[in-house]
Amino acid sequence: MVNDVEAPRRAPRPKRARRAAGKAAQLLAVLLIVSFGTFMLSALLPGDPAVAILGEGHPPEAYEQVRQELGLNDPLLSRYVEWLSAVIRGDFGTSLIPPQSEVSSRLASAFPVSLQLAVMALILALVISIPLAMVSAYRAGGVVDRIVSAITFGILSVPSFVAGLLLIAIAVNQFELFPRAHWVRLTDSVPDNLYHAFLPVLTIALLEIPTFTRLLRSDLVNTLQEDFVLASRAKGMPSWRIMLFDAFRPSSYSIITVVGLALASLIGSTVIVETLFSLPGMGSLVVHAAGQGDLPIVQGAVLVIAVTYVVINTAVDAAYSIVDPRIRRAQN
Amino acid sequence: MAGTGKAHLRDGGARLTVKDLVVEFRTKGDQRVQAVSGVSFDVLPGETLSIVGESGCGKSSVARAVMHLPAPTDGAVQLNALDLGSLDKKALRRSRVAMQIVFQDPVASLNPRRKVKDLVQEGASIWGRGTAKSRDRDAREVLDAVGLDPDVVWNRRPHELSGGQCQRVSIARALVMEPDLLICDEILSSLDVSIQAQMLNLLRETKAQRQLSMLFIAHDLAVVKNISDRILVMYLGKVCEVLDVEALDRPATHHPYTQLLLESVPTVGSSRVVPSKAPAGQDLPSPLNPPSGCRFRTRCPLATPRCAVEEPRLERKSDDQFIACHEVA
Amino acid sequence: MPRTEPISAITPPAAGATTAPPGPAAETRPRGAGFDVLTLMCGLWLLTLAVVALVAPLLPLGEHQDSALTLAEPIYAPPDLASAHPLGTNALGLDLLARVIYGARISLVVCISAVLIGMAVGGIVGITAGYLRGKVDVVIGVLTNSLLAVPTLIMLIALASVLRPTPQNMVIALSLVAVPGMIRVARAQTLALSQREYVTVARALGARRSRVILRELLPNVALAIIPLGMIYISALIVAEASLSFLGIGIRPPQPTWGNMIAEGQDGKMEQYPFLVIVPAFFLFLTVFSFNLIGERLRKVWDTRQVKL
Ligand SMILES: Nc1ncnc2c1ncn2[C@@H]1O[C@H](COP(=O)(O)OP(=O)(O)OP(=O)(O)O)[C@@H](O)[C@H]1O
Ligand code: SF4
Ligand SMILES: [Mg+2]
Repeated sequence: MVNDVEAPRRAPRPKRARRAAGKAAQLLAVLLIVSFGTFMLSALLPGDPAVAILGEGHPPEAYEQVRQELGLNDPLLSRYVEWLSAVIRGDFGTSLIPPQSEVSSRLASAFPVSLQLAVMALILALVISIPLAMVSAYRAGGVVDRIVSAITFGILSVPSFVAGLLLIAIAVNQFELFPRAHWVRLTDSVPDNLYHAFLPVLTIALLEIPTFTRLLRSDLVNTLQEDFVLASRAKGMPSWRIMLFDAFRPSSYSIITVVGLALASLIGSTVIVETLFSLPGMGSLVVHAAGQGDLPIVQGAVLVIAVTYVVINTAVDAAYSIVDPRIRRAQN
Repeated sequence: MAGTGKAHLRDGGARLTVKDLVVEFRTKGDQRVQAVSGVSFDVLPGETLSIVGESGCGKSSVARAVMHLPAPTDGAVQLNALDLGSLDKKALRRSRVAMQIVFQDPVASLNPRRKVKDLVQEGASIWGRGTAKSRDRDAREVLDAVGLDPDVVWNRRPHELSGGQCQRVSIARALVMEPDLLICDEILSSLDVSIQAQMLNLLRETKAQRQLSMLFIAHDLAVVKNISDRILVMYLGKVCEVLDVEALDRPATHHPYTQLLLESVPTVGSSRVVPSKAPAGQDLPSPLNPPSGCRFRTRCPLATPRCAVEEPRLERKSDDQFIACHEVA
Repeated sequence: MPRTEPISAITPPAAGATTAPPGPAAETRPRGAGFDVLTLMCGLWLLTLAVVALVAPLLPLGEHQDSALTLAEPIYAPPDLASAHPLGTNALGLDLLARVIYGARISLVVCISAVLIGMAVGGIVGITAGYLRGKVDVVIGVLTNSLLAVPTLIMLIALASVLRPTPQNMVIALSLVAVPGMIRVARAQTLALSQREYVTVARALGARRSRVILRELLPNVALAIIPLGMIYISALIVAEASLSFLGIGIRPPQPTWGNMIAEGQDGKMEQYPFLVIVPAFFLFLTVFSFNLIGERLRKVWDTRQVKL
């Protein structure tokens, strides 16, 4: 509609609460559906699990007994409920392939590695893309802007396993600057950890740099055209001050969201890098498990990653609507 | 103003009768806005009723509610004595064709992916009317009637036409359905002045030729004087005044809001753009939270304490003028 | 040079989040909608690749798959355009040119099919959600968010752990990746478009719901979905290559760009860089071309939509 509805007074509390409850219900539904999908992976598995466990050539009663023990003869829904209640207690079962350890302990040792990689990659990506965006936006359409945008567009088209391979070929094998295939836990030695993490982190960061740079650049360009920025210009403020103090702050709201979302999805995207550099994170765990058909580990990892994703997203969403008055207004 | 009341309705023979129309929107915060609060009017065959009021007073909401797109929250709409609210989906679809609507935005009114020939024949193809040949002929005829050369525009898409041409295509598309009632929702305000005049002429001719009833929506009085038989002045979802066009210039007393609108009409010869803003300094109060009593009282020069507590009803002032105001009536 | 918005398709927005990613911001100065040399070259590349991949069995190429036939061929032959193996051979003496072309065949067929399925399903579902709103919209929203809650590669890996890596299964898995993004875009477009007057007019003319959806909304929503489809093709090509690279996608000896690149691991790459460079180059050019054309199309159609 053409007309502005005057910003209405705040909605009465119960309605806000109801809306929040509706959102929570949707979140819960998402988690349930994801968990059900994860559970159903086992139903997609070709062949009879009893045969898979015992091998061929046993009497039919033996298979029947295994099926009984595994509860495969129960109705699907009750098996799901049982599985889910175990998962909620933190019991993801034991892995099928030796070492047949608890899935939860494997996940617990892998998760921090991926989280650290993702967080560091994000920071690195920001450190690189913020200045890039600023120099691009400084003279939008100028030579620098075009070069940066060409480079970012190019990087966007380099799959991370190719980038990783190239980095390894150059920095590890050619110049022997970095080690490969070693991981030192952050808790053991911080400098060692950082040193070992650098290449993998750079590889992951390359994934996000183009997106961040482009987004922030176009936001900056827009902000720079707003009245209050023009006013500062007219007052004779130097351009870099305008960029830093007037333009950057309002432009950073959108990057905050994107960073939040990227953090969530990056925990899944570390897969390639962890495999390439043989790092003991969620990614390499799940890839190995998938290669060997170790379903409990795959299921556990998928769930943990999905829950992380949903939780971070929700948090970002909430944080964002608190931080940015524009959104709050739009929601009213 | 805040007028409710049906004193101005004529009995029988109306093409369109609208009674106590209420249109409510739900907003994000689960609040309700009443865009239209109890509006009644009727349109006789061949008559043009103009609805006038400033932006946001609910004119378009009335138009859509009349079309049942979507159906109004409350109230009755009768087309040729048939109550649209009582119809099922299919019957409604069929009856609705007798009313056609043309919108303000000429470009948004045309599907950008279609050619003019398909746009104009859309209604016929929905209803499977006629043969391909007869449809083509009708389409060409009506394009001609609205002042477009069929051979030129036939295969064009909307982005290859000017705003005025787009508006003509919209009108052609409506007219080809041979409606009983044509609703024109601010069809002039996005066109420039010379084209406005052409359009007014076009509408006047068409009306005369086809015994067409029209609901003509605008936000100022200057435009509607030329084309209307009757004028309904709206403010914040309510009716202020209903009058025959002859009563407008007669040195008669008007509702204070009509007065305000009249004073903001540009004088002849001035090149002032048609004002779309509130004529008085203040803005329109929020429809979420309308003033009590007479809704116009926050801007009314004549307001008294009574106006804050009691809503005026639309009263007959003379045969051709009905006013909802405690002080003027 | 391409000056474009971030490709949000590759990291689609949040599950459970209503905050849309910051909307497309206006460009500083609108650039001409025309296609330039670079775009043309990208188009040519894709066309050539598609044609060559299509007629690959008819071309006089070396052996791409069966190492029993290449016992007599040199292994690790370096690229030499004048030789019988213009792009070299691998550890089994298989011809790299033949392998990249057959790899393209698989990649293109699988990814394009997946995107077409994603566009059809996502488009229809998204339009339905956007047009009907209400409960249908909520349910579809929850399902979409559920699909988005599992990051692309993780979902593909999970599916790969239970499905056999046949091309058909690959198409199914990859289309699951494309569907939710398509739903979101189609829904958002529909929400915007159904406010347009021409939809109201169509209903005034008596159009049924199905006609409004198919004739008024679909063609216009398609304008937004097709460029996104291009960008998705490139994202899926990368995803498919990543899976093969990880050894859980389509397996050797059937060549894909991903498993060809994987042959360069474990130090082979330093000795025989062409093992990686050849497929990586094809991969890069193709992904770049789809990205670029998608972005350009989007911009052209965007400006046209705005102008209208
Ligand atoms: N879909 C909607 N949802 C919520 N509020 C709406 C909606 N459509 C209209 N409104 C509100 O209803 C009121 C009346 O709107 P309407 O479009 O009918 O006014 P109008 O008189 O046609 O204005 P204009 O001259 O600008 O076209 C406005 O306050 C508007 O904000
Ligand atoms: S005088 Fe009172 S009733 Fe009449 S318009 Fe003014 S406020 Fe309304
Ligand atoms: Mg209007």
